[in-house]
Amino acid sequence: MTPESSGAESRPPSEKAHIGRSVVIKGELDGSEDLVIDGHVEGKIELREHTLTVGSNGRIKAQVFAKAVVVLGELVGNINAAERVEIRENGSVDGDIVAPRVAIAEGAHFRGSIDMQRKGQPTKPAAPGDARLPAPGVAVTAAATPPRAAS
Amino acid sequence: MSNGEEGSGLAGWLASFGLVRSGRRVPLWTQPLAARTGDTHATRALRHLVGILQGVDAPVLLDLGLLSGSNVTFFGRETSCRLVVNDLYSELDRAARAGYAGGLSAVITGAITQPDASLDGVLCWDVFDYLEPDEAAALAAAIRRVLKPRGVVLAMFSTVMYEAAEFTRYTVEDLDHIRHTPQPAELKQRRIWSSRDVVRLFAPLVPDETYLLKHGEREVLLRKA
Repeated sequence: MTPESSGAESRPPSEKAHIGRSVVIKGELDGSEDLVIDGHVEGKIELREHTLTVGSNGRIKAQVFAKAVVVLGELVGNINAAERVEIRENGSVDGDIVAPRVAIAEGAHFRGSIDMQRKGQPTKPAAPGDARLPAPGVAVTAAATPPRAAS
Repeated sequence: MSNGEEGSGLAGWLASFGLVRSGRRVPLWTQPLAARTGDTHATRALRHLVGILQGVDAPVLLDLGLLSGSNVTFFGRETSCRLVVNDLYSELDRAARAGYAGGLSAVITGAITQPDASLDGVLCWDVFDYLEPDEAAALAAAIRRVLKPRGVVLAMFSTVMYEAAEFTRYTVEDLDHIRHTPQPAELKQRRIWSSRDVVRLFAPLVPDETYLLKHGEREVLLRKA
């Protein structure tokens, strides 16, 4: 029997945190796992070693720092990605992108600037043991609006 | 007046005196309107534009064309530039659909918001073909304002009048080839710009390179002193 390792490596790769379409968050959102957002987020999103996916119902108005960002919904704000940014068909981004790779699908909307760093230039990796990183999971530093009861 | 048939009417009369070769240089008003095809065409100016930007440290390039993911990749790879994407065609088309077809100058001025002397290059593609003279003058003035000294503009001008209300999506395939894909639009091509008109339009920017290509497009590279 293989001893389990602690921390992020033991979680199955398909596991992602998910913010549903009825959730509204205003404030800073940071985490140490992949995150899919189908709700509304305003403020700042920091997933330094992980992937942020803005789902087709997601509406983001925030500064985003992540390893990779995939946009199927709407994002207004600047994106700083260590690996890549993808704007899929029907995705929309208004803001500046800094990432080594940027892929924009046909049918996507983009307005802003794109800075594809030269190869070899250091990106901004999270320092190990960074005190700012929370325990595994997604931390929200502002109150989230609970889902409204159906009328 | 000629109905556009070669050798007939005014063109034929002129040809009979050897003033116009039959089948060539038929006056514009006799030419049938052309149709855009989705083909790949040669480009001569693109390589020069890339070469200029490669000589600039951390260049900033403004692309006014229809959004193209592969163009983003191309310019990022070839020039390591910061690419500012501002799809002016779509903004003009939206304004035209909303009924502002007669006054696009305000749309243009509102669309080019970059600070003075902040850009190393501007990619206009063929947007000027869709503008009236006063609108073109507004765009040229905005470009002059945002260009740095020694900044470069690449603009394309059709020498053929197209009938359909269409834009062309320019997709760079490599340094020497661009794919032209027709895309339905509200705006139609307004006019054909002569070389002299282009020089006057952009003055005091100076034409650096001009190419007249076989597929009927003139590519013009201009530099700011």
